[in-house]
Amino acid sequence: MIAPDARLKPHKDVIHTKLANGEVVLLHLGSESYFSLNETGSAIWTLLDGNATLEQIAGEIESRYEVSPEQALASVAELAEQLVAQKLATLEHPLS
Amino acid sequence: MGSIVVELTNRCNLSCQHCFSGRHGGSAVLPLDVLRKILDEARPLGFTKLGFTGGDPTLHPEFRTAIRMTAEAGYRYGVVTNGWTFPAIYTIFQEHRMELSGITFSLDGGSEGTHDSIRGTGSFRKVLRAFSICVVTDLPFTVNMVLNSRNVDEAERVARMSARLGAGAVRFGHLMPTPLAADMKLDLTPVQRREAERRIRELNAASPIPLVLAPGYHAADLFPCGPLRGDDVNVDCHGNLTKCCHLSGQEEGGGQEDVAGSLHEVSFAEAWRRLVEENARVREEKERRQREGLLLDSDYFPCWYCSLYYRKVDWLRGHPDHPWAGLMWEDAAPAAPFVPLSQLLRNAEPRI
Ligand SMILES: C[S@@+](CC[C@H](N)C(=O)[O-])C[C@H]1O[C@@H](n2cnc3c(N)ncnc32)[C@H](O)[C@@H]1O
Ligand code: SF4
Ligand code: SF4
Repeated sequence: MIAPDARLKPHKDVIHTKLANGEVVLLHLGSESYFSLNETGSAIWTLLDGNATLEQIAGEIESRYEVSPEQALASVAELAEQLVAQKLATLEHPLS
Repeated sequence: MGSIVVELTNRCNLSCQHCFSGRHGGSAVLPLDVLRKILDEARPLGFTKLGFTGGDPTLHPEFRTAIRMTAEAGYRYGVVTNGWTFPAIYTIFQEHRMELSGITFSLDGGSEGTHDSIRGTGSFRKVLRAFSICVVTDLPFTVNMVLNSRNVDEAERVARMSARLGAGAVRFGHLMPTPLAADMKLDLTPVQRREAERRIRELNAASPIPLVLAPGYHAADLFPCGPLRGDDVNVDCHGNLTKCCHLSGQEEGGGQEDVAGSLHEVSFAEAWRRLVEENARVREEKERRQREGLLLDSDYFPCWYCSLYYRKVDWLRGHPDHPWAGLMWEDAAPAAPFVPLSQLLRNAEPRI
């Protein structure tokens, strides 16, 4: 499980594209595979800048989508796990 | 009947190393009233399809209107682009999806390094980003690769990657010689071209998507393409009806005989009639040359033959080390009795 204070940023081999409808599609250059994110996933992805913690991103999602803080953090953490497993995002070392 | 290639603009955001200088940093834009004229007048002659090219056609300031006009006039259409502007314009293809035959993206390497060395930093990622948009929005696309000395070994990678990323086909074309490409030593020799063609045919046999050679490959057929068969025509961004997009935009070349007339001045039908007449002369001349044994093996690369016939490569005389310089005809003026230099030398018996 990724810690709530973890910071993620897009993997350097990923090309991400935001469509006109807000949906995000990812292409990993190494595996040559596409991944499309749903609306919440897309919102989370655009917040992954290597600075914000998962907890902070969850706070943002909570306010946008009227979900409980627990639900928001669970969704963000779950997506983060998948993104890291597929090498779509990398963990930033905690800020010192 | 075939299609009309329309060069919407010679504006381009890139300066690819293999491209004609007339397409680097141009500023001409085809007025939409010329497009309207084409749409109105070409249909009765049997044309039903338009292919938009450039420069980058998407940089036409009224690109969306051009697509809308074409689709609403009942034509099918296709677009060839480097992909950079795709996120900003793709919705027009969704709006006119029924009439879209496909989008062609140029991919000139199977690796970021090779493609970007030819097309400029960031180009590889931009074109793959355009692929992803097509895949998720269900827009049909194919890939065009121009083979050159730097990328020819990556043809297989381009084919495999394109198939995996959802392209419907890959079209491999030969490089039309240009001074810049000559300086970059991008031209393949005739032997290398034949080897690349053989390899692509072999790859095609095992490929999940069609891998095709664009007209211009070595062929016994003297008239292997739409323009030479009299099916396809080209309209350049100045409004001239010309034979073929491969021949227009070569501002280094002196010849203008491929230009049939300006659509600012004559009707589409009149310019087309001139082109049909000109085509008959071209056919006659090429057949005569074959009958008389004047064709060199290199002349069976039809675009090379056209480049010589239309005097697009006279500048090559200043590049004696170029792999094709020795294959030029002594007199390449159209309608003149062409005799290749090597033929002249063979005929030159010493007189005692
Ligand atoms: C002139 S471009 C216009 C469309 C767009 N800008 C692009 O690059 O796709 C159309 C196609 O012509 C190819 N091309 C450019 N220079 C060429 C040359 N010297 N010989 C053969 N094809 C060439 C390009 O690679 C591209 O696939
Ligand atoms: S090949 Fe296309 S993108 Fe490249 S310079 Fe020529 S017109 Fe522009
Ligand atoms: S240059 Fe000549 S052979 Fe090549 S496609 Fe054009 S008309 Fe055909």
